[in-house]
Amino acid sequence: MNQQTQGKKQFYGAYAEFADVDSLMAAAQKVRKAGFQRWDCHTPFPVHGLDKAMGIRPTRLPWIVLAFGATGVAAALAMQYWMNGIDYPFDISGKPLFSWPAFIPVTFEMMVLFSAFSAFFAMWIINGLPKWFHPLFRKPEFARVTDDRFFVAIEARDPQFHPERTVEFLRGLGAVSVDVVEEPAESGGMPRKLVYGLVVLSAAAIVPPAMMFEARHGTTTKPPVNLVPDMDDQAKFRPQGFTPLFPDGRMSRPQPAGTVARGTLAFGDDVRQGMDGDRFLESPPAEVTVDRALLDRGEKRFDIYCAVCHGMDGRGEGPVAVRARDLAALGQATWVQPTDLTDDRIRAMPIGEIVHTIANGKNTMPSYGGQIPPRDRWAIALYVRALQKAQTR
Amino acid sequence: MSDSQPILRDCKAGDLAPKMARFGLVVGVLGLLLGVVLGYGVGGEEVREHFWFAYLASYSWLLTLVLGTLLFSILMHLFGAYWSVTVRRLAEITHAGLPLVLLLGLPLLYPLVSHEVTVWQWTEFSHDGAAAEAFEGGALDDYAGGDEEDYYEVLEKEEHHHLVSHKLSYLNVPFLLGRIVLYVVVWLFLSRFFFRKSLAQDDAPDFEPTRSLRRFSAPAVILWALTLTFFAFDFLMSLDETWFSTMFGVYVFAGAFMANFAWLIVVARFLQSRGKLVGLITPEHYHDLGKLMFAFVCFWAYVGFSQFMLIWYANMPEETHWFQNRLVPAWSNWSVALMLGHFILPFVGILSRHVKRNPTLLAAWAGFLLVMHFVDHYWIVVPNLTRGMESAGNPFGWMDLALVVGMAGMLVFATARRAAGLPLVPIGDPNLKKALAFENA
Repeated sequence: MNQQTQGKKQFYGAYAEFADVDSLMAAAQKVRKAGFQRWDCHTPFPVHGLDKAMGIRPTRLPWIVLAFGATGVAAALAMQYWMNGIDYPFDISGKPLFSWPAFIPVTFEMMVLFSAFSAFFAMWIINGLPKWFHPLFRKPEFARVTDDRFFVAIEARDPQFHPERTVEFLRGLGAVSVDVVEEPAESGGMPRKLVYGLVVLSAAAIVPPAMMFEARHGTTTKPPVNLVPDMDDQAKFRPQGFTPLFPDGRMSRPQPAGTVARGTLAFGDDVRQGMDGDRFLESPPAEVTVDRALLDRGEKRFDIYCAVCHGMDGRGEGPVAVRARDLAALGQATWVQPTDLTDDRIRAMPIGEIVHTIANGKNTMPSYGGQIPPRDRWAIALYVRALQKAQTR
Repeated sequence: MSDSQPILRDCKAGDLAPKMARFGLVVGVLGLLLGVVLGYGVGGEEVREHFWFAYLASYSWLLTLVLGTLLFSILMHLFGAYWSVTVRRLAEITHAGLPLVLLLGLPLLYPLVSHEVTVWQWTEFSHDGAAAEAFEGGALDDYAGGDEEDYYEVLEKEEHHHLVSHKLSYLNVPFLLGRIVLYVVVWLFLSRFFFRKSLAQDDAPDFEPTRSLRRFSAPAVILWALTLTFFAFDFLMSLDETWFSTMFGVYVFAGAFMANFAWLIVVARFLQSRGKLVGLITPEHYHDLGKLMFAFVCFWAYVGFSQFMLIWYANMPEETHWFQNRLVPAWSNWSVALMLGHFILPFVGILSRHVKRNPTLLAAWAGFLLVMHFVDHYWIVVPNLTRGMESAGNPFGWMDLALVVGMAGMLVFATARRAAGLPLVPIGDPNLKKALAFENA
């Protein structure tokens, strides 16, 4: 009677233990019909139909997951739009700044991530997890819930709960044992040992990042640690590298004398190199018919191959040049400004020399002979002339 | 078993089977005839080519669906699934109609071997060995800067022929005919094996047939996957002879397997609306069929988009033209319709479990997806007819509609003919009891 004087709150509730599934199901139906609301069943394995017998309403979890999944989609699209479209506009292979097909994989992953996390954590929150202790654990009988016994527990929070009448009611359901369960004297906090363990672990977790920080920002005389040595240092020939394999020590091999690209055999040095003997041609050879179509072609090829450095207008202000100059100003790159194709030196240059430069490269400009077939070289050179004429100073 | 389950005593289609077979035959013959009349009787030369493309589109719709049901029965044995036992017979009677379905494919041999109509451009090369060889030598090497042909036109032509000539050792008519024989033998054997063994169990309930079906199901899946993939390569991908995508086989598989679930749902719902199989197929089974249909709607979109994105992103001319042909004004609406109807709408529509557990609603979505499966195959096949013609409109018309309705009629006929006199559930299957008691947790 001590309990009654101190009020209901001392109880967690009451439980009834059943020996088999059938009596549990029958009991669950009766508990539901009796109008209890704060109660639950505990079983060693999932019991089909128990949800229905208990009258559990459908879980809200799917709606939470749907909302978070949709949030993930919206967040991913917004993030990528902002990153590539606004904060750091970056032209990737000529595609629009906001090109949705490229953003779908990240959007998909973010949807999955948000959905999975929300399903996992919302399930924990809805179920009141993590829980370190449950009052039912105080009863030695309850240990068999993971083995071969089935339990119904009615909580004291239920408005209909009464320590004696509810126990009496449960006894009437054919239970093996029935008892009240007291609320634990102290709230089930984290076990002290676990707290200490976590503190030590989190302190230890700081060590590796600290070491990494030290290594990145300090100096050392020791050689760097290569975790994957054959990836950092690959056994391969590099363009300007040295090798003892060949007498001249060069890694990149020069083409054998007289090599001609496939499909260009029909053309002589005049069409391919813009040269007649050791003299640059002043005008296109007979094989190149100068007409509107060739100039249009030249414009397209110029915009594809040349404009990234020399700029669409040929003044040497292409996006690569601008970006490289920015980096050079920060000391992050060295850069030689591309030639302004409209300056007087190039205006005075024989057209054959421009073709020759396209075919073979000059100074830091590499050879484009491999990408640009002979007629296109002339088309581009003629278009360069057109650019010069269009930009008189 | 059948005695202890009173529900199983009457699980045959009864007079519904011959009725549906008659209905299917009439619709099928009328549809196909109308298609032939519109294609060959009324139209001219151009319509003739269109006819064969439309025939191929509706035929691959039918064949992939039926092959999908074959895979369903194989897979259910492979997984030892018991939930699906009550619906497996519906798949079995569908793929048991394969002989008739394969007969419907016979006319396609005509454009393959004949010079009169060209559906597969590469057959022209295959027929004309000399032309192929000439291009293999490299037209450009002989090009001496003459004025007859534009340099770039020759360049383009050589690139095209270069690709095709490399494929001719695989893409040639005799070899393809050999492969067709192989596909047909494999499909007929698989379908017969999985149908007959299951029937044998009806009269003498025994675990033995289940055991041997399970044992054979693993190699059967490999055979099925290889034959479907190469069928897709040979008949659908090779329509555009220079194009190649290693994902194409998976793409066709995804659509075929989705169509299988849609078909099973529609058939089950129809039978139940006529008072058959009541209590045998429960919302639990619809729920699972619906989940798998939903899964393969997503898988189709996943594969389809992966195929698109890789090609779109790499932007290489020898790959992009296939999608370019489908983004021209004549086809862009179909492409958008496919994206919406084959993925976005059904994704939202079937997402909820309440829809999957509502047979009528689910069957409505399944019927819609069967239509989208046709849109998919029409979209794969027919743009090859209009490729390169920038002013061409979309060719879909009465003939295409008649042909696909005809094919659908033949599907109903082939299925209903097999259903006659058979129990619509495998009453001797040792897992039937479990399947009937099945509940989604």
